[in-house]
Amino acid sequence: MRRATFLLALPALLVLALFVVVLASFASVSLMVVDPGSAVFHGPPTLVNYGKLLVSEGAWRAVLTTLRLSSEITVLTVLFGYPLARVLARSHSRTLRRVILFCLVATFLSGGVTRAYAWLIILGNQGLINQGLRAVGLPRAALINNEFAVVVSVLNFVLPFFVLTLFSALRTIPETLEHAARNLGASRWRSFVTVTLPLSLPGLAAATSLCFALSLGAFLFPQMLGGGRVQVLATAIYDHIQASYDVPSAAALAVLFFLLVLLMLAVVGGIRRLVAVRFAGEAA
Amino acid sequence: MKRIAIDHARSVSPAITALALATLAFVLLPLPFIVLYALSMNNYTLFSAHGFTLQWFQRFF
Repeated sequence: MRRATFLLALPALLVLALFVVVLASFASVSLMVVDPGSAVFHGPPTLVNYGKLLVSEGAWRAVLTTLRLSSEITVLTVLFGYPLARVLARSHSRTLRRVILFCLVATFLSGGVTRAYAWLIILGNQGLINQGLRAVGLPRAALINNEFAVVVSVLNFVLPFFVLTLFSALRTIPETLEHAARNLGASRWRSFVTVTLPLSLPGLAAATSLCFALSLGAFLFPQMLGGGRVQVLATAIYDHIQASYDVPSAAALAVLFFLLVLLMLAVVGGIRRLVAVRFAGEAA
Repeated sequence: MKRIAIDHARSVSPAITALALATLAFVLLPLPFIVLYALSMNNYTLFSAHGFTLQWFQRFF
């Protein structure tokens, strides 16, 4: 029995081992030092790169910017994504549900780079919005090479992930529960707050965690639409390698990034448990 | 006893549906520009409705 369990788990363990080996090998580079004026790095193992990171103002600024932007994007995703997931799960129009589902899947097929270029055309200094503003005699708005452009583009990227994850959770909640609440006199809003929202919390937490993790790791959109003025952790790691050829420092920053993601996911998990306990207490 | 009539056919309010459709429009917003840009005569990432071409497709094939 134990042998059969091990054999069944073996493929998953191999995939997990692959991830661990890649991460561990890159993390081991963070314990090396780079020769000044070259890209060659070597041992013996040392924590000097972590020491440099702890006193680096740029690294902490990148950490804070990453956390702030990811939080903003996650809040906006929940605010705009929940209604879309709810309509997708609850609308009685089959055509509407199919159209929404098709549109969401279609966005996955377009790819990140092409969408980033599309945002350059929309938000750029000679883009659609600024040409529209100029046509009506208004001054040009700074919509690109700043945090606004990064938030808008990453929000656009993560919304389909959020909606599809939450949709699958909302579909499992029986609609009859909402009908029962409505029949007992609850308003549409009250039935949502007291019935649907508590039952959707596990799915909401999963979707929120996914979006937060995607926002934390976003590289392409901050790089292309931030114009080098928005330094997040992913772009900071890239700059360490491409501009400074300092792979050990980049690896140390990547380890810090990984620990940060684990910490934030633990915090989100803790909040989820607290909220679940609160709603369970109210139900009792 | 007071009877309450509930419209079960509309379990999502029109306001929520409108917000959802606006969000969907935002999600889809970049896609038409990808198509438009593929047919544009511009070499640069700027919006221009002047002149359409198939030259990029000809070069590719």
